[in-house]
Amino acid sequence: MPIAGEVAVIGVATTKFGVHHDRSYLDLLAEAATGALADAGVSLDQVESAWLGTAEPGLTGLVGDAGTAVAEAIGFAPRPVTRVANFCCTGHEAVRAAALDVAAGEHNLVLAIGAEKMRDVPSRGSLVARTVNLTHPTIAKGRTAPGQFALLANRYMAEYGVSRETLAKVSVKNHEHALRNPKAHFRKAVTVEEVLAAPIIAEPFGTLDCTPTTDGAAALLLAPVEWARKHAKQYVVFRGFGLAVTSGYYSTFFDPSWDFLGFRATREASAVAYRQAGITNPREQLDLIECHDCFTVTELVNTEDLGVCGPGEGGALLESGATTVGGDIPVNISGGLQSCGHPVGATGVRMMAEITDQILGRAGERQIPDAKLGLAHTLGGPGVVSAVAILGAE
Amino acid sequence: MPAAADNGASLLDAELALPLLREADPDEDSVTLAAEAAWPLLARTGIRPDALILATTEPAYDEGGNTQPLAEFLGLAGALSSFELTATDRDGLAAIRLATALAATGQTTLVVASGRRGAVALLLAPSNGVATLTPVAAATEELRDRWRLAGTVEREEADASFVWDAGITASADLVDGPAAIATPNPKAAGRAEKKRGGPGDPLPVYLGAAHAPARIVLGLDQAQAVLTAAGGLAEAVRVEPGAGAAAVADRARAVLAAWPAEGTARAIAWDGISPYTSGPRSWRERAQDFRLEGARCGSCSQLVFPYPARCPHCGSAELTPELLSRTGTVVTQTRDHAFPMSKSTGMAVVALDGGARFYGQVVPSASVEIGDRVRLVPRRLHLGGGAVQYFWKVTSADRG
Repeated sequence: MPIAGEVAVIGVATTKFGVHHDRSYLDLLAEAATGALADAGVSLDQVESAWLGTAEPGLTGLVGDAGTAVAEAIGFAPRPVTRVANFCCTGHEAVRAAALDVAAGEHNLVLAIGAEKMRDVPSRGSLVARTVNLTHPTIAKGRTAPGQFALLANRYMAEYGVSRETLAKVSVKNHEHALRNPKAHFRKAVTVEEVLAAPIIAEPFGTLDCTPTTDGAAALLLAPVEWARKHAKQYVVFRGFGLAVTSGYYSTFFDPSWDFLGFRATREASAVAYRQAGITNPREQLDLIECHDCFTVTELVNTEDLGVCGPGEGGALLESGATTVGGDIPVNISGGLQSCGHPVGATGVRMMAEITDQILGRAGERQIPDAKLGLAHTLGGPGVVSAVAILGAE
Repeated sequence: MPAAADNGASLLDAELALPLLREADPDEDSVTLAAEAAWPLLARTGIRPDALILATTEPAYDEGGNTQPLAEFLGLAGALSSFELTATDRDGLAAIRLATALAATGQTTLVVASGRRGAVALLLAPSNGVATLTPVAAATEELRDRWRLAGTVEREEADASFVWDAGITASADLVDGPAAIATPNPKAAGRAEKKRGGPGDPLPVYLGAAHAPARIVLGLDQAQAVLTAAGGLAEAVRVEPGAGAAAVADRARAVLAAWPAEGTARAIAWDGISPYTSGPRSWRERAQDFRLEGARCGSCSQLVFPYPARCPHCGSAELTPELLSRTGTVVTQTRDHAFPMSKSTGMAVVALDGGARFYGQVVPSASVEIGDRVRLVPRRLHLGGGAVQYFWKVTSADRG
């Protein structure tokens, strides 16, 4: 059977995102996994398999390199666990694999865990150093994650006449949102002036245009909707799940068809998810969006690629207040990657935990009134992988 | 057209290449400048030489390993005999002597004399050129000016007032009458040249092994003798111009006239990265790295770079190698302050003339904007694995 309409989320948990010098990768993984079980009111014995999303085990001495980390962290032996990775969509991939596991009828209760420990090394020694050092020795030398998205930012601003200040307002909005999220890495409001004055990372981005480097984990417990109806304390249902891979990690920058104004991967993945969910007007039908604001400009193009507004209209949408708390389509009510941080494997799972909490009406201070349908989106590599999950009330 | 003299060679064409700035960018070296000098020469003449001789006292590698990357850059790798001369700055003219000997056996030779201040490329053949170059005399004696004992790092230098004068005296005896003189002491060389009624040196800085060949090319419209001496080794070459020689000289003079006297390049921290490297990868992808070889899809006609396993657009395996063009227009750019090899590194995406795209670093002395016309130049990318990784970088089209 398909994921959409047949697989439910019955428990969620997210660790505090931040710099956890006192806690290990396995500590964070265990807290998220057991937290999801506790939320569902399910015992560990009832869970039949698990999927682990970790993108960069090289940052933690390879402890998260395989499913063995779950056996070690929570005493899961001898049940099947597989580690999955797909750049920044890694968290979505853990959930997607778990959902397919349930939908296939192979297992009944399945854990999806995303975990990433990025700050056991200095932030400059984290993903930047890996991109710098471990990539192709010629065609990739000079690229960094901020540098790649900065290429889009400069083209986007030049093509559409979007100002640097508008980019900064994404950071301002998401930092404002994070004041209501106790799990966010940064919970401090920033001003446009502060964003513009921050140290430059890759022009036009300063530090406050970029997601920080963060530790964190999140987990979902999944079950067939049929099971959830009979046994679950609470649940929400997958309405759509799209994944698109549109180009190569290296080759996309050499591909003349890319206009540097948006991401085809997001358009393709959301088209699949919308079709499954019966969504024809995302702005009208969705109650909230968690999307991949790794850099400020990314959120603007995401809202365009997700069909919330037209091409080049992301800045105007933001400026209208529609995507801010209280607007008609709040985007990144959690604070997004800008404020939560981006422990890569955990991010997509955290987003789906947020959507679940919103639909279940238990999002506390940041609760969106009457939220029924939400979307979680991640974008991987230089925008060549995208995953879109839509969750709704039964 | 002058034919080769009994002991001379015919110069088909020549090219002078200078760094973008008077002080070369930190990623320019004797191989990249040699490639910049030789590439237009080969493209213009359409000739594939039988032999390649590189003369330099600033080699990228000690004990050999410099003609190989140069041959790859030039598309000459494969059936080619190559030599590197790295004894002293005299080797610029010694290379011409060797090419002359090869011409006598019917071979065409590409001579490239280079250093970090500039490079000269000359194509020498048995006949049909624009000038005849004839090595007329040579000398060898134990006269130590600069040296480095094997196994040591520090270079020793002798008392200049003795060595340079003695060196010039030795070379001065090789030919009679006015001559252009090139030695590692340009002031002493200038005095000696003036005393003999030579033409005077138009080069503002000393080009090392490339200096004497540069004097040949810059003065190619006149009959002249060129002398060089360094480290107890001396050579003299006589130049007899024919039809077309003036045009070669004019082109070199235009390159010299366009050389900016000022400008500062950004520094490069070579130890800022510890890149992954692979010997098999470097060898397997050498055409992609050195020649920007992509693939033309026989099914959907797209030009694809990097060289794919199958066409990424249509999946076809019908792929034919095709070199990317090296000029284009900037699609987008950034200055990246996170890439740890420099305070900031320019990165650009370029729509190449002919359809493909390039994405890579901007040279340390340039900045580019969206819409700028640019060209790609060979540069050092990094020193990963203790070797020089050469690749291409972006620079403004109107420079150099």
